[in-house]
Amino acid sequence: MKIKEIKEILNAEVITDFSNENTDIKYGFASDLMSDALALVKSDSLLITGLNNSQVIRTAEMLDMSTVLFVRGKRPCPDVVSLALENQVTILSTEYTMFKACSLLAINGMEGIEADD
Amino acid sequence: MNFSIMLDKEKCKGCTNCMRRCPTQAIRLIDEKAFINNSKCIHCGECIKICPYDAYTPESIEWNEEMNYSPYKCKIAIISTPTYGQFPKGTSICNVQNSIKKLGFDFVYDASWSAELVSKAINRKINEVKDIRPFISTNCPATVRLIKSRYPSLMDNLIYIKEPMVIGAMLARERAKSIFNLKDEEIGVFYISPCPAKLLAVTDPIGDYHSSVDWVIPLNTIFGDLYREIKKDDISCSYPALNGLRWGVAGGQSESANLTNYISVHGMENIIHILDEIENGNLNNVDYVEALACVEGCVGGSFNVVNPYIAKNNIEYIIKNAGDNFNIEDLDKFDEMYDSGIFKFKLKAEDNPIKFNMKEAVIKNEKIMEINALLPGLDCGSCGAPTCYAHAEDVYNNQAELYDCIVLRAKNK
Amino acid sequence: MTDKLLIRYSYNIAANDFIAAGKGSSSIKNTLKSMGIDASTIRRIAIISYEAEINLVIHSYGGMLHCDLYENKIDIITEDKGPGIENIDLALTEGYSTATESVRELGFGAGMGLPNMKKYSDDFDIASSREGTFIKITVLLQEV
Repeated sequence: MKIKEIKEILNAEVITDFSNENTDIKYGFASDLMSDALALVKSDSLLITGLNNSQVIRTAEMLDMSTVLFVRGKRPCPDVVSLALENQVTILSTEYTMFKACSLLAINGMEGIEADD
Repeated sequence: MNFSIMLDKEKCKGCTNCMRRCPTQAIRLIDEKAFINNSKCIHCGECIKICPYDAYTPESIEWNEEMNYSPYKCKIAIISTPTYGQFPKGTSICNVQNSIKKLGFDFVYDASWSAELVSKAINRKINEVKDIRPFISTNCPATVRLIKSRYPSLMDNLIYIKEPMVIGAMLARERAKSIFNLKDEEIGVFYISPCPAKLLAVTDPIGDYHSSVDWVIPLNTIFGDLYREIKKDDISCSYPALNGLRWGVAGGQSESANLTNYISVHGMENIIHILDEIENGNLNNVDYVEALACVEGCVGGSFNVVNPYIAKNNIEYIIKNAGDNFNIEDLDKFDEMYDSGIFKFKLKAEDNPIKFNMKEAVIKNEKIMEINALLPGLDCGSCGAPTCYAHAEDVYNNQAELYDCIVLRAKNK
Repeated sequence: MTDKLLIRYSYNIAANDFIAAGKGSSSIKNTLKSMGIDASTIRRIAIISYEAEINLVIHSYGGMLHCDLYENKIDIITEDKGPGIENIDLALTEGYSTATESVRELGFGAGMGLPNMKKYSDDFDIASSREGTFIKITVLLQEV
C-alpha cells in the first residue's frame, strides 16, 4: 500500500515524508508496546501506535521501518519529529481510533503480521 | 575488446550529480572532473542517465572497424529483447531484423529465443532446488556485481543460470559452425546491447565460463542507421519468441518462467531495499527475486533510445498482436540441454567476495572514524567525495588529502 | 578461532532518562553498518542492544551498555548498579513484567524485554544480585 493510499483511507495528515513512489507497505502492526514490535515486526510494515514519544521512532529505526502512524489524533511532539527527520522516518497522524484505523487499512488490503514461534 | 564508461572531460562541469547518485560510491571529483574507480564500478549506468550534460559515453569500442576489417567469414548479430521496443508501434519485426542485417551481418539470432530456454532452466532449477530461498536472478550483471560488493552473504542465493545473451551466442555460434562448416575464429558474434553492464559481462564475466560474444554494440550507436532502413520492406525473416520477448521488461523473466511466487524489483534504490530484506531473512518464503538495475527492466538501459515506459508499451503491443508464437527447434531439446549442464555456471576463485574480517574491519573503522571526527559532517561534496565518511575513507586509503575539505581549510586560515 | 577482544564500545546509560534512551543502540547500529557487517546480524544486535538499553533505563539505578567485537562474534553486555532481578526465570517469561504503571504509559514494560533479547541471541547469560545485574548476549557472525 502506498503512503498516498494510507493517507486517503485514514484521512491522515503527513507530518514527515521520506516516502517515494516505490514505498510500498504490505503489513501493519498495531501496539503501544514497543517490545511487541521488536519481537515480531518486519521492515516493510507500518507501525500503528497511540504511544507518543521518541521511543516509537527509535523502535522504527532499530527495525529499519520507514513509516509510523499515530492514531486518535495524536500529534508527535517536536523531539519525536526531529528524531524522525534525523532517521528518515515518515510520520502520519489520523483522527481515527486504533481499532478503526486498523480495520480501515485491513479492508483495503493491508495484511497483519503472523506471530511466529 | 576493452571497455569502461568514458567521460568527456570537456562536457563535465563537475556538478556532483553522478557522484551523489552512484550506488557503490565509485565516483570522485578530481580537479573538478568526475573520475570513476573501475574496481568499484558495477556498470549500472546510473551516471550516464543522471548526467545533465551528457558527459558520459560508453563508446570505447571499435566494433565498427572490426566489422569492416575482421577476418570473420560469418557475422552474427544477437538482438537483445528491448530492441523491438525502440521502434514505433506497428513496425514489422522483419523490418527490424533486416535493417540490422544490412549493417553487415550474415544472420541474426533473437535473444528472445534463448531467453525462452533460460526461462525453462530457471523454472526447473527453482523446482529442483528447494533449500535456497529466495533465488536471485543472475541476468542483470550490475545487480550481480552489487551483491558481490555490498551483499556478499547473498552470493549463495544467486541462481547461477547463464543469461540469454550468453546462451544465445553459444547456440548461434554452434549452429553457424555446423551449417557453414566454419571454425570458431571465423565466426564473429555481436550483441546489440541495451546497457553498459552487458559489456562488462562479456569482457569480465562473473562465472567460470567464457562468453561466446565477441563484440558488444551499444544499441543507441546504430539506432540511426536502423531507423533509416526500417521502412524498406523485405520478406525473409524469423519471429521472436513471444515468451522470451517479455525478458525486455521487468517481471518478464518470472512470467515467462511460469513462476507465481516472485518479486520483480527494478531501479537501484529499490533493489538495495529488497536485498536488505533478504539479508534480514524476511523473504525466505519467496521463490525468485528478479532484480534489474534499470527502471522497468532492460528497456530502461542507458543504451536505449526510447523512454522505458513507451518501449514497454511497444513490446506489450507486439506480444498482444502477434499471431503465432515462434517456436525454436531447440525447445524440444531443452531437457537434454539442461541435463548436459550448459545453463549452469559456478564462480571462479577470484569471483568470491573478500571474506569479512572483523579484525581488519575494526582497525580500519577506528582510523576512518578518527579522520571522520575531524570533518564537518556536512556531506557537501566539495572535496570530491559524496560524503564526509567517504572522504575519510579516501584519506585513509591515501586517495585524497584531508585538506581537500574546504571547511577544514577555511577554519585553518 | 581466537577469543581476543578487538574493541569495546561503551555507553553510560542513566536511569529514567527516556529521552536519551536508544542513543547508545543507535550508535552501535551505525558503527556496525559502516564496518560492513551483514544486515541480519546488525538487525539482531540493534534489537538486543535497544532492549538492553531500555531495561537499564527502566529497571536499574543506571549502568553501562557495552558492545564487544570479536573475530567471530559480537557481545552485548550490560552492567548496572542494582537493584537486581528477584526471579530471573519469571523475568524471562514472555509477558511477565514488574514495570510500574508510569513506565507502561511510556510504552514499555510489555514483559518482552529479556525474552526478546534471548530470542535474537545465540548465547544468553544473566546473573543478578541486589548489587546489580550482569547480562551478556552473544551473536555469532555469519560465515560468508
